[in-house]
Amino acid sequence: MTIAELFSAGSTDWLRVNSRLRTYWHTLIAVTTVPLLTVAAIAIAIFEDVPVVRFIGVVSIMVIMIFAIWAWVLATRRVRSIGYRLESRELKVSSGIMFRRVVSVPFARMQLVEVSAGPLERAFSLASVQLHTASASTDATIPGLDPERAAEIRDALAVHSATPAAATTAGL
Amino acid sequence: MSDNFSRPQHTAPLTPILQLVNGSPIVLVAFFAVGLSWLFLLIGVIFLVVGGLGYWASWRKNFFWINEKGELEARSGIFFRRSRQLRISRLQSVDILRPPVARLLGYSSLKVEVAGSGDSRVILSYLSVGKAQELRSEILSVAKEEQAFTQSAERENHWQWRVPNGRLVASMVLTTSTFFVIVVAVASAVIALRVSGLVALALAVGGSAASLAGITSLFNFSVGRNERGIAISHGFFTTAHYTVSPIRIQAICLVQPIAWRPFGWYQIAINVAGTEQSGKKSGPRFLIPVVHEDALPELFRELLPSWNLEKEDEWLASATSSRWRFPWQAARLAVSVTPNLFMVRSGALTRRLSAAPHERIQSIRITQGPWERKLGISRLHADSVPGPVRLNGRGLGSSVAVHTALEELDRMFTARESQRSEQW
Repeated sequence: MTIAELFSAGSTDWLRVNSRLRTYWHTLIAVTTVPLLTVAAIAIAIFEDVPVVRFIGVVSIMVIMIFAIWAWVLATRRVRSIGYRLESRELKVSSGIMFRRVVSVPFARMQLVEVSAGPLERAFSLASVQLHTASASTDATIPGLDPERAAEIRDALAVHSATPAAATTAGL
Repeated sequence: MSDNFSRPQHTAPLTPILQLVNGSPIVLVAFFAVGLSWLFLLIGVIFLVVGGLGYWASWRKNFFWINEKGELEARSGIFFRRSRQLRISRLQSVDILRPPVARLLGYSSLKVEVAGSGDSRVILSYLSVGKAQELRSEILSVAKEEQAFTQSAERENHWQWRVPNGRLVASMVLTTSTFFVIVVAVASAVIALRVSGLVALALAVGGSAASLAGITSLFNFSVGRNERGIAISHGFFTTAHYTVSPIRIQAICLVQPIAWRPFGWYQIAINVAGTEQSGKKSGPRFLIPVVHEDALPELFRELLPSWNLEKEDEWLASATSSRWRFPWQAARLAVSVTPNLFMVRSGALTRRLSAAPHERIQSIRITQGPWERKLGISRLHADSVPGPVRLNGRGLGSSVAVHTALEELDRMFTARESQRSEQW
């Protein structure tokens, strides 16, 4: 059993994120690597007869390609590895293939719920929900949500985070 | 208290000169490096004049006052005007800082911090000591919305503990990192004296000065208790005073480097809530930098009465397979969930015992890298506010880690703050 399964008491029904997240990540990889590769290629073309530049250029192209292909291939599995559970008193988020992690944030510890969507994310109509506590190490981000779903989660969380005392009287 | 802070006013007129003097060590160092020459003297004079004019111009545009909404307002900027309002009702701390040159001339800075993220801190430089203390009391009185503190910054402590400077120096020298700094400094001096004397010596002196700065900042360390909380003050060249409400101490760590063991010394590091903003540290990092184990019971009784670090607690030891990942410290790695605290034990050479009350842990994480997965172990993190203490239970069997996490979460849900977390 994985730590995520252990953490949800054997239950595997973690909520999954939208598979458009994979397409978004693929686009992100393309958008970041293509300019880098172009620069390297142009450098090689201009300094054709300088062996040092050519060598550095070829090596950097290879390194960039390896990282890009690696990230591209793993994107599918990375998306599938992300899961979250809104439980009665806490939010749990799990993610990671190689380096796995699960995090649990009790509602009473939340300071801020942040919904964000960058321009490229908006093009794929995706949004992320991020929880902040007083700790900087709390790393509870759910990427790849439909904007409506993100708003739903934010509203559900906001009810709890408003004031700890209010949440207690409401039978938290 | 009179309302003489309600009108916009400048900091002390001597401010530009003090700022200039603070910047001049660089000039002096360059002076010694290059040697005396007319050209250099000319550059130096131009530097001083331009710098002085700059500081003077910016000083003229700096104002501060306490406005009618109960906010400390500070304006600055020659070209880009900047105005900041700190709501004093959300005050976190107001500390008097005394940098060396300013102190010699009887001036100090006042650092005011309020709760909240982002722009929540103002440092007023420089004020005469009397005025700084007056403003401090004024701010405190606005914060309390009642009669002003009539006393000055130095408040009477009900109980106090001082660290002897000799022991402080000895303890710092005996930590591994300081030891290496000194070795490297001396070695580089010895080796390079033959090559080119002065440069190497400067490097060595610089290295030692860096570690010396660390030591002197903790000189005259004292920790005490007064009616507002735990009072910590230290520093030789620059003195710092902090008053920390016990409720703001989120986690502690008992640290013992290997060389301290024969002496029975410990250090207590603390995480204090609301002291670290955008990566800048501004609060105390130590409750006490070095203390003999015999004094620990008294220290805990006086300062941390609800923290019950009993030695005979049940420890959940790391899995045997974890010695492939943590060969030295596997035997010492363990976590414990007591009625009040979550505790983590670690370290082979430098021993650490970290603890945090359940109600002050922010979130629980479990992580597992590929190698750890092979060994069937996981890490259990109890996230605390930023600071020197990390609660990071390593080498635990995965199911032990998860069960402990669930148990700890259960404690976190039920644990309540016994006192409300007001500012003071």
